[in-house]
Amino acid sequence: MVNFNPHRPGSPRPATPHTKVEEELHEMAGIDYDKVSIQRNPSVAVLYEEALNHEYGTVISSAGALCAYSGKKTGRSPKDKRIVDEETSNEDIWWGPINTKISERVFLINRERAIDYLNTRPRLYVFDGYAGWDPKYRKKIRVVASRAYHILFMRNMLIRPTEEELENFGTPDFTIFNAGEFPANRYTTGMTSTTSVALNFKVNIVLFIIPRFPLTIFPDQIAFVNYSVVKWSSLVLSMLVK
Amino acid sequence: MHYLQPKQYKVLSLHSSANEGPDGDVSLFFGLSGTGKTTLSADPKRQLIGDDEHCWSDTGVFNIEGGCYAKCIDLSAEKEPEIFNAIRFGSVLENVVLDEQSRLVDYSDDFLTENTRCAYPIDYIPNAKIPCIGGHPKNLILLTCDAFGVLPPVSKLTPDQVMFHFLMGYTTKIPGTEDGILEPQATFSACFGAPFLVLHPQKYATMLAEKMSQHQTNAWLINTGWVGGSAKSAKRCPLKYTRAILDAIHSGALANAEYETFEVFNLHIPKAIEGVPDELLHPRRAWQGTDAEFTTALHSVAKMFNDNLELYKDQASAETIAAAPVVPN
Repeated sequence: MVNFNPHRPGSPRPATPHTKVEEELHEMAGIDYDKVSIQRNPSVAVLYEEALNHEYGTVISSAGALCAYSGKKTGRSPKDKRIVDEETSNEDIWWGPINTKISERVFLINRERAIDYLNTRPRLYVFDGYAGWDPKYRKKIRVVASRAYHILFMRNMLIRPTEEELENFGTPDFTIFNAGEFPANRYTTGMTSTTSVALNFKVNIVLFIIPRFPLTIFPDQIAFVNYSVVKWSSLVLSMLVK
Repeated sequence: MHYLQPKQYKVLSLHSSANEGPDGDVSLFFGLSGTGKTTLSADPKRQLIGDDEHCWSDTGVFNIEGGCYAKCIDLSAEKEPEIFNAIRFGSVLENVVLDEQSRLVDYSDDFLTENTRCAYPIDYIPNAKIPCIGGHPKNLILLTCDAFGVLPPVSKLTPDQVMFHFLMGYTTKIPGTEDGILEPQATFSACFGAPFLVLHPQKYATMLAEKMSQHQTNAWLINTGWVGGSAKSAKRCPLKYTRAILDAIHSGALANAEYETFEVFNLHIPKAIEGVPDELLHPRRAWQGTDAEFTTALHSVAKMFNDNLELYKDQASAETIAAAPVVPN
């Protein structure tokens, strides 16, 4: 583990063995746990501190809400949604302007790019929670992001597990890698823009790849993902009716 | 890696809000932006199950989300106290303008974007039902904002008509009204949320009609837009009448009302509702222009529906197609 400050409360100690989440992310996606520190389900207070310390442009409103900015460009086009054309789901999907195909190979290239990006970040955050309030049908969702702000957003939007549920969480049904701020590879087939939200129903992964906003306007502006257009829950839960 | 098994569950995911009355009766609200989905599902007499995404399973409905992602342009403590007060420690705000010194939010400022947003846990809303689960819905409420003034303020839908109107996802938008008068524009979004669909819309529509029949669910089409004329000449249907209509639906009074059939769309219109003027209930009788003008407007809207249906004809069921409006030659 690097990039820790031993004077901050909760900083990992050099000899700390890898956590279960670190091992799982390494196993599943090649997240390099020796280069990044990974925090799982941090508290709201910790997320505030992380966002305010490391994410330029993040401020607090007088009522106590955490505020983030994306510059002038807000909102995302549904045209950026991609679904992997693979045999376990392709007969069910309504292909067309709303659901655009990409191949498994293109997905892998972009996944690699997203992971490479996440591996360059000093800090990663994981939030494990549920989609769906009915315990019989709920899905276990894992979100991996490099910004505390994104994790706080997802903490609010997903169903928060109790301590006991978190302890016994097990393997997620669906993993969302948020590599916001990093462009998708435009030279791969099916990628028309540098923004990509790609779903793979075979391996149950969503990738969010959103580039930074124009550097000339806001030199240090950190972009965030606007989930309103291609909403995570619709994507994840649409699997249920397949 | 754990693989989800497709077709594992017979669960229908819906882009809708949901609330529950004191007797446990659940209503689902469908509608595109601007139709009143958020406003009408926030009812002090009913608990909120969720504001945006639900599933209908074999045991009833449940909210998918643990929070709300609400628009906050022009938000005020007077108009929407629940949302206003939910924006506190733990909530996030996107692209709002703050006062440089006090850090007070100016919700009216759209300098960065009109699409300012907040996200907060659903338990920050005082009348939220936790856990966000309810029984099988008693009422489905399809909201539309018809600026042409041809759809009735309320009509009762058959299961086939539910499939048809769900597949259409109709509303209208009125482009900037400042520079004189502009024609309303029809908007169609399949299943009231086309960008989120993964399967063909008819599959969701069929499941919805099946579940509705299985659980004796009533369905209603409510026009929160214009009655008596188009947006060019008439006023929008007052919110108090729409609320009175919803009260009559929730009390069960409307299900037992007397009905007449409305031409072209073959909708069933109630003859009377407590708290709503009778003449407002039938668009032709409420129309302030000439009879011929109404006929022209009605036929033109019906034609837009039928043109939109063409997009889905390849997979639309015979029942859905049979519920389309019939324009006389």
